[in-house]
Amino acid sequence: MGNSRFDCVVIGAGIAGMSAAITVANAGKKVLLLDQHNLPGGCASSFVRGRIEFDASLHEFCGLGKPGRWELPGRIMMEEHKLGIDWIWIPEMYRCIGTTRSGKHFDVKLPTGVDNVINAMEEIVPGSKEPMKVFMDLARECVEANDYFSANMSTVKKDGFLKTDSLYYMKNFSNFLKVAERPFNEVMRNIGMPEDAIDILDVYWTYIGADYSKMSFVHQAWMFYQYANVEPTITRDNAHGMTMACMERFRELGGELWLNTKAHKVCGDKDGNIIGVMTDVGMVETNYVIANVNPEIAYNKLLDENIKVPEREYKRVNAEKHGIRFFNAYVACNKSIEELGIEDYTIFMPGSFDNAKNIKDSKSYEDNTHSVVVIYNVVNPDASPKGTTVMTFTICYTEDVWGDFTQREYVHKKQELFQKVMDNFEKDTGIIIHDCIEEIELATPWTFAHFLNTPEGTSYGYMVDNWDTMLSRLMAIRKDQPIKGFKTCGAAGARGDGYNMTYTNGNDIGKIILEEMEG
Amino acid sequence: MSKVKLKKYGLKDIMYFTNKPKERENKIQSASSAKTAATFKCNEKAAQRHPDEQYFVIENIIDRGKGVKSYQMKKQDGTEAAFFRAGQYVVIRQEIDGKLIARPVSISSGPVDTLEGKLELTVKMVENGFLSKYIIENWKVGDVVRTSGPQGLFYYEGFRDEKHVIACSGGSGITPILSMARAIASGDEDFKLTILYGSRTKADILFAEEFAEVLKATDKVKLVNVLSDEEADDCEHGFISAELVKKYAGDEKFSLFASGPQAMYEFLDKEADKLNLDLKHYRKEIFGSIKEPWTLPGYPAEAKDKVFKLKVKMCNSEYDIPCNANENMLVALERAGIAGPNRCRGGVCGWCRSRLVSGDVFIPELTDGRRGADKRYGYIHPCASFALSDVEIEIPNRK
Repeated sequence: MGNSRFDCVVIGAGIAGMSAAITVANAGKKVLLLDQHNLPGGCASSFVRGRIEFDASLHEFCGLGKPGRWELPGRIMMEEHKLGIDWIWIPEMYRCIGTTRSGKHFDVKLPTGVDNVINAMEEIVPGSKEPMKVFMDLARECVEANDYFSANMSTVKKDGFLKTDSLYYMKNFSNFLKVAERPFNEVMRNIGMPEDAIDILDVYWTYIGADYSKMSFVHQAWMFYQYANVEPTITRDNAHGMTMACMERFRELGGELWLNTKAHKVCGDKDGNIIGVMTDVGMVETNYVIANVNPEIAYNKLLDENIKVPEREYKRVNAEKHGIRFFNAYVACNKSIEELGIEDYTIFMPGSFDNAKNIKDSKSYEDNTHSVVVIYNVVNPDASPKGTTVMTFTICYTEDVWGDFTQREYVHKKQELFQKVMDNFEKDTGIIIHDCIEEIELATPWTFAHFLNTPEGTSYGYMVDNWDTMLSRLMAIRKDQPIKGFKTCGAAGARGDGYNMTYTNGNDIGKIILEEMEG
Repeated sequence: MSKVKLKKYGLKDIMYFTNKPKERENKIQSASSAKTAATFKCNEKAAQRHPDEQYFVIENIIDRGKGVKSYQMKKQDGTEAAFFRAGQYVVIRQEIDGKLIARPVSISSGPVDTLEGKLELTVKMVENGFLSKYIIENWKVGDVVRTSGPQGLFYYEGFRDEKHVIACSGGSGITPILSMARAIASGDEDFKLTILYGSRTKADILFAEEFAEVLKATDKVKLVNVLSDEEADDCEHGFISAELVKKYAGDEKFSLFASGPQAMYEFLDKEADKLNLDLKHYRKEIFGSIKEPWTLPGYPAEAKDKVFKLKVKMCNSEYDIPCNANENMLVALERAGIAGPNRCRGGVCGWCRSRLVSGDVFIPELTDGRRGADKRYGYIHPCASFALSDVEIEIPNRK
């Protein structure tokens, strides 16, 4: 039998796990990547129904950049990892349809390009031009500060937090320091953004799943600026194609991928040093393990009793609240986008733009029909066979709403919900799809719990909150990983959720493990 | 670059910023240090719905004649069985001569029975059918049966299908249709179902009593027996043709569901052409692999009857095994006792997905359910692939 000793074992081939595995293999280390499923990718996956292939999760990759001007995730994926991915850029932000808190109805489109967005907002809500300029300037500074931060994460202070050069920040990112951690809506108000404009900008909450009256400015500002400035992306081959490109590169770098192989325990010696991973196919020897799982699962289930988990880590995972989870309707029609009259890639249909109301509704089944749809063929003619259209509707929940349903009513609940979502879509857009659906699959938090094995079926790790901001998590990225030779990565990590954040986080953690290897 | 001036933010906000990590730390320190992972309703429901495996005890066996038997089973641990969509199947995993053999078998009971832990599977002895022969000859009351969770996509979908479904079925292919009829009777499905059930003679008709019971309970189900070798007053005579489908469809729009042997599909495909149906209105239950690949267009005749070498990498193990060109590659893996995960055996579920390292394989288009990127990066579904040369593959771990 083959040699079962590796420099590093990565448990879980999700987006962050794949990224971490490539980062470590890229440094010349012998890496084993394990996944309990027969398919790598985690969320970055696809499935086939009849002649249609559905992307399981990628709506828009945010902040990748473009050849010659890659942003942080793009630099890692395309320059450092050299992935062979065929990207497609989406030349629009979103269309949104609904009623603001002032009672006005809006059906508006935001283009990409910072100046274009500013001008479009002025047309939509007169008086928003100047505050939009300020917003975009602050947002740009957030992106730059985040880049600088990400490139300088290696020095740790005595208290475990990262050491930062405050003078440099004061000099270059003083506005960032002032507003980054203030609540988004409060900052918007303080720079004079009209209330209707705030509502329209808040529509992205579905992609973050947080309360904008509490969530830090930097989070939304970073995302919004990246969408506006460098255009969101998808891959021509869908998310599974991205996964295949990752695995192809990983193999080129000498990596081993074992599928349908569960890691049962990370094992330590008497002194608590990592000595290996017990898997379905026996013991694999290694001194370094990265697990693409929620830390609560790592601490409570994965680490054996020899490995000492500091009490502070149990407190940390107990303090966290689980992030949002989704209902997805994957729909394919046997008509082309031209026949259906579809022009927009992303359409948010919040009903009401009131973020506070939407957050409240996201805790219930009946009231939550706030959906977003992406229609792949608008930017990717290869997304499905000629004469067909493939689209995904998404609704997010902030609580375990679906956990209460019985087995017998479950299918009816899925159908009842999609009927409402489809009725709203047809009413809002005038686009009729109910008579031409050729394939459909309705996925709920149960489905994601089944495939991802995450608590409550969440795909977004831990909730970004007022006390648990992305920046304070990043400041503690090393403090939160105190076990020598063992780290966790993924959406529950320092950067939070999203393809961009989890891929970058995998790279961060891979580098931290490499440093530990170097001693 | 000149910066915007922020009137409402100043030094105190910088303090607010720099204090954030400490604030987070205080919150962490005030949390419980309990060392238990919580359990969640959502995960529990998902695990009930999609179990990796279920164990049943056979409580009753009904011999339906002509090599068909129904096995009425109950969950061994007394819990509910996984709820399913009527028309789905489970994969039986049976050890025979030390080798784990897996085959999909249709569920003939209705989904509501799962709430009492009950499931009925109906098996027909197939000529040269390795597992079906074993089951019919060996399974007895009291035996424990290991199955997967419910699988498969052959079920009614209200957003896609018409309100009226005409189900064309032959022989034991009636089982998923019976399950659908039972689901309508129990209120778990809501559509109008007209069943055109083809048998050779009246004596070959399966589940007559069971259908009689369903018909008593609901007027949404209609059963038409179609006899090929016998004429009878209350039955249609001949094959299930486009004409016959039209006769029972009337002017209403309908979806055509087909469930039966490969020969029935070949006949029905031609009849369906005459009906000018949209792709979405004609759905077939196909599981089981393609037989006799050499009869298909594009198959290189010289490969037939050959036995090639198959090199298999599975995690940290490697195997060299023979691979009969006439059988799909999953069979070679099973014969060697190293088959990994597999379910549909018809190329569509993707569970046996493997990496083709080298060599040539024949993949019939009809059962090529691979993802686009998998085709480009050289992955195959062994259950729907046939070796054309010595081949090397990398497969998921078996368990």
